Amino acid sequence: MSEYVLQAHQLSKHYKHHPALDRVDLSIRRGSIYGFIGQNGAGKSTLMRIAAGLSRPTSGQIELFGYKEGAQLVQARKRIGTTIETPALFPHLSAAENLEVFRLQKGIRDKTQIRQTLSLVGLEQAGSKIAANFSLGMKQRLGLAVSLLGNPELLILDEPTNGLDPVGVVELRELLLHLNRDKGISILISSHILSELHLLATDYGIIHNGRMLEQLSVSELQAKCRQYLHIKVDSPEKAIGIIQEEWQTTEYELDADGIIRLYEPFGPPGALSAKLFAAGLEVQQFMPKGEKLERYYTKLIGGAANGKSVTV
Amino acid sequence: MANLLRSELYKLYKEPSFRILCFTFIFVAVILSGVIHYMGSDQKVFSGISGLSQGIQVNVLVLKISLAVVGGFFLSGEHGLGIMKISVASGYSRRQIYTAKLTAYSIGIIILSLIVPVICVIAGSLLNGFGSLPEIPAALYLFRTLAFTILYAAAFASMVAVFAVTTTISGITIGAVLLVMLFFDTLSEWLSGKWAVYREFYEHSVFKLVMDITIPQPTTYQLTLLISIPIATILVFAWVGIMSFRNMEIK
Repeated sequence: MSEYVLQAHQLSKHYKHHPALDRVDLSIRRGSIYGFIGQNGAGKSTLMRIAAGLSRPTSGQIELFGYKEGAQLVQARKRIGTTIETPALFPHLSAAENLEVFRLQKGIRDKTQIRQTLSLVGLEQAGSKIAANFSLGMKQRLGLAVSLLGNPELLILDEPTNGLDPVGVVELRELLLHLNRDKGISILISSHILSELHLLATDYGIIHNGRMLEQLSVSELQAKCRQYLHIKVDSPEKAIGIIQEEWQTTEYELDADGIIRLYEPFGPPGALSAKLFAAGLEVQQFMPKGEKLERYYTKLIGGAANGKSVTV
Repeated sequence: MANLLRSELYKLYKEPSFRILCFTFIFVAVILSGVIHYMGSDQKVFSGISGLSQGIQVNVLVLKISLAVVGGFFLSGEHGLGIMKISVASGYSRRQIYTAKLTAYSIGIIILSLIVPVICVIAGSLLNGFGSLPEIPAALYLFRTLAFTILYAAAFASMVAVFAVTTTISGITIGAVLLVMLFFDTLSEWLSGKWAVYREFYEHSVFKLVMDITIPQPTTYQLTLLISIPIATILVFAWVGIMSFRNMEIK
C-alpha cells in the first residue's frame, strides 16, 4: 500500500502560453489533511482538476494510490470523492434523489447509505426537499454528501467553505476532522480562510503563480512561525533607533500601519519597554505574538514586496 | 458500465424536459387520432395502418424537437450543473461515460419517437380495426416501420450527441440542433441540384433515407441502404463522440 494517496511529479499545465501549473511536485500522505493555499488563479483548482481527471497535464504525472497511468489511474479515481469549484447537483431533484443518481453510478447496493450520508452532513431532515430550494450552505453540504458516497479514501475539496455561515464553517471543520480521525479519510482541501485551514490541516502546500513554493507539516510551520514582539508607538522610527542601539539587531519589520515586529532572539521585553518609555515614546501596544499562517503565507508569496509591509 | 447506464437511465427518467415531451407527444397523438377519425373522409377510414402512416409523418417534427430539447437539457445541461465533473471523476473511462450517455439519450429519443405512431396505431385499430395492405402483411409492415423508427432515432441521436455532450450550454445545443434539423433538408435539396457529388452524399444519408422508411415494398438494394446507413452512422458518430469527449477539458 502506497504511503501517499496523491502525488504530483513535475506537473505542468499550460493554457496557450499561460502556465497554470509549472513543474509542481506535491505529496499527500495517507491519513493527512492537506491544506492547499494560494491566491485565486494560483493553480490550486487546476491541480485538483487534473487529479480528478477533468483536465490533462501538459507534462508531468499525477499518481493516485500508487497508480500513475492509464486504466489503473482511472480506476483509482473510484477511491476518491470530489467537490471542485461548485457543488454538483440536479436542482430539480430532492437531496435523496441526487444521492440516488450517484449511488447507482458507484454501484453501491446498500440504499441505506443515502440516509446515513445525509445524516452525516446534517441534512437528514432535508432528504425530500428539492435541491433548488436549498441555501448555498445546504448545497455545499449536499455536494459534500455526494463526494462521501461510497466511503472514499481521499476527499478533494475545492473551497468547501464558500457560502457557509460561521456555524456552518465550524460544523464542516468538525465533520472533516471526524472523517479524518475516525474514518481515516485523507483530505486535500483548499480554502481562502487560512485561519480555518490552520485549525484543520496537518500539512500545507503553498502555491503561487503555478509554482509550488513550499510543502510543510504543521510542526515545520510552527518552527518557521517565529515569535515576535508586536510594538506600536507614536514614533516608530525613533523606536527602531533605540532597538538597534540596545540590541544591535536587524531582525524586525515595520509595516505600513507603523507596527514594529521584533523577531526572536530578543532581550528581556521589560527592559526594552522601559527604554522606550524613558525615551519619551508613547507606547500604544506592546505584546509578544506568534506569527500566524496568514503572515507566513503573505511573506512567502512576496506580500512584503507589494508594499503591505517592509522587511528591513 | 452497467452501473453508469443505470445512473444515466435514472437521470433520464427524472429529466423534466423528457417527461414534458412525453406528455406533450401523448397529448398530440390523442388529438391527432381524434382529428383524423372525426374529420377524415368516408373513403379514407382511420385504421391502425393509416394511423401508423400519419404518426410517422408527424414524427419528422417530433424527432427534431426531441433531439434538440433532450440533447440540450439532458446532455449539455450536465456541464452547467457541474454533474459532468463528478461523472468524469467517478473512476470510469471517458469511453464508458460517453457510451452510457449516448445509450440513455438514444433510448430517450427512441421512446419519444415511438409515442405518436404507436398511439395512432392503437387508436386507429380500436376505432376501425388494424387494416390491411395489398402488397405485404400489415403486421410485417408495422414491425418493420417501427424497427426503422427505432434505428433512425438512434442514428440521429448518435449524431446530435457528439455536439450535445461537447457543448457546455443547453441553449446553444437546442438552438443549433433545431436550426440544423429544420433547414438541413432544404439546404441539401438545393445543394444536390448544384453538385452531383453532394446529391450522392445526401441520398445516402439518414436525413434522406428516413423519409423512405414507410415504403411498403423496398427493393433489396433499398432495404440494404435503409439498414446499413443508420448502423454505419451510429458507429461512426459514436467513435467521433468518444474521441472528442476523450480529449475534452471538463469545465
